Amino acid sequence: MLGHKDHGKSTLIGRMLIASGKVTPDRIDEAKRASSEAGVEFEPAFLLDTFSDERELGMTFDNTRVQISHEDTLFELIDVPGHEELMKSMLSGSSSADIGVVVVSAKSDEGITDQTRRHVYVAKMFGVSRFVVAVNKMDLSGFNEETFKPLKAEIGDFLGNIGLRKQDFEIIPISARGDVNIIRRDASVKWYSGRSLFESLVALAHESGNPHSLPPDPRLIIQSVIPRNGATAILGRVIGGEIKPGMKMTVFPGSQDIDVTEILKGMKKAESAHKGESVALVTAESFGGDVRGSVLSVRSFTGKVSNSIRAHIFFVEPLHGELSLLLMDVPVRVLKVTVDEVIDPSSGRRRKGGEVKPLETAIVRITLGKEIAFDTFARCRELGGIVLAHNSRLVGSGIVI
Amino acid sequence: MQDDSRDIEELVNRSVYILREGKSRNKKVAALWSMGKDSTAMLSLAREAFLGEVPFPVIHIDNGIDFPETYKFREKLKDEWNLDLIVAESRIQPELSGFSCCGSNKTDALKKVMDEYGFDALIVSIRRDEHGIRAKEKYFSPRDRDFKWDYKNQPAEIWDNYIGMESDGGHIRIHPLLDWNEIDIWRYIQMRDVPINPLYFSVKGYRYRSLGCTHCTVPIQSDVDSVDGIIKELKNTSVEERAGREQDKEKEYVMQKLRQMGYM
Repeated sequence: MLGHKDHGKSTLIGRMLIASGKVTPDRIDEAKRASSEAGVEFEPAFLLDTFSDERELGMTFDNTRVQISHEDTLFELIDVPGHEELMKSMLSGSSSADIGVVVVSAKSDEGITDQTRRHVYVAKMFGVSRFVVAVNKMDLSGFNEETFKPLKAEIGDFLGNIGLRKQDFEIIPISARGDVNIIRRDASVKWYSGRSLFESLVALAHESGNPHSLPPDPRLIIQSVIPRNGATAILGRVIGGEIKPGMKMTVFPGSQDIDVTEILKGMKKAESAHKGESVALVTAESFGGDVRGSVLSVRSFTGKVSNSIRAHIFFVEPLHGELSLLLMDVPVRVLKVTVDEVIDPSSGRRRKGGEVKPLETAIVRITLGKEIAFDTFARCRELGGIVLAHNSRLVGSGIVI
Repeated sequence: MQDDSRDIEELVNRSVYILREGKSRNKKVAALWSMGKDSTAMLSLAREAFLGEVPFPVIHIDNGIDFPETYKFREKLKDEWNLDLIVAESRIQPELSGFSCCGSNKTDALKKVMDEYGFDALIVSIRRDEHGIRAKEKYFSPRDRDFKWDYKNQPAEIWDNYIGMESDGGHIRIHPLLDWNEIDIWRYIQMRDVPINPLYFSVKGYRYRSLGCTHCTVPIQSDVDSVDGIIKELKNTSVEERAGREQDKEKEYVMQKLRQMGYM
């Protein structure tokens, strides 16, 4: 759930919770009571903004994740803060989402802002491939088509400019407070013949969506290694391909070869392991050094092993001090970051090299203190999503290109 | 009404991943075990993650007023699963109830045992769907020395990279069940045949749906006496899981205060 602060993200989620029948009467009564205590009209956002200071300040601090189901489709809604200074929470939310719901206020002095464009640009960069734009607060203009039209044109242009196809997004006039066009299309808005928000979400959820190609070679991220009956058990998650007992595999970096003698899922032996599965691989070999964060694949591994990475990074802080790069949560020392080109996500403006400021993105070349195994984000999300940190503070995050 | 369409194996894979990360990235890990369904399911997942062994001590914060069935179940599973059990005794103060009871008694006992053993991470089996406040929790979440939760400045979690985790002399909370719903837990218990506290099954028309201690938990009216029956019941209920918990009722903000103070 993306958008500028005060454009109604939390209100819309609250409304969606009520509409899907997910919230019990108890919870709604509680939110009504809290609304009247705060001296405002019933505010569905209070179903999410559960901290008392969130309610008093009328802002969301951190990602809230709630589930709703509609017509046999289960959604998890991630509410992200709309404030500039809370972009790190927005990045956390975007990195785990499939569909972006962009809330834009139709109120005359609100509309599409830098923050709206920044959210959408970053979400797309972080792998969100489909968007529903909810043009909210349409009740303020009495659902006037003339209010909607220019906003629709402006949003459509922007989404097109950042590379989305027409079938990847939908733009819907709604009122979250007034409950219009949320579950089904409201007949009173005669000029609008498109889908309701829920109809659109269900349709997008069932499209195959993200066309990113899977790496064909077997890959596993090593989390840890423990002894097992005189042999070694490698604990980790499969991130591509298929692994079978008897397979010869190689640890990257370092290129140590091992034979997989057995695959365990939980306490049971398995005949194969596939993408997404947490497994244990048993091998007779042992490891000299620390292999946590290493990639177990085959000799013909199609990813890269290098100390130089080209990436597109969104910065939340200026580039400064000693940096480390995190990939699958394992930190590696950064020797140098060279900025090739800076792209402002709120305007799309580009400039060559130079300083990169917070809230800008940049195409960079990162040189590391040692070799690591990685891949492009487009091919393998797990090996292509990276973070730059300084003393465990987030500096920026982005994708290997 | 609860949705029973989720892929349990996908949830298992995710939780196993989190438990292994939690174990690898911290020095001395312990888990809280209330003998309720969630923390028992978590121990079963830990056995799946670590080749049949639970590789960390499990802490029961015992105020002496848990149900007899609960103590019996604790001893049975301790032997069956070879658990390294630590009982942290917390004294019950009869003049306190709900908020102050869970807050001061249980949290103080936990602080003591964490200090004594030097644990730097604690596995807690909370789920996002339990309570509005818990919907803002993260898989890994630092608590300061006084167990306080700085919810305004939580670590970033970006593609399984966790940034800002230093706990300043405090500890890290590990939440492997955050993605699970109540019904998912029961479906997992059903699929893996996980041993379960008998209080969840009906006796004379009543059963417990959420387990606290004898002072602040009330049973629901139900004739259900099997895991299959519980799943069926949950698919049709409109009552919230923790409706029988006194400490939640006092007010929404009480839960916020409890969590900020370090309550699980």
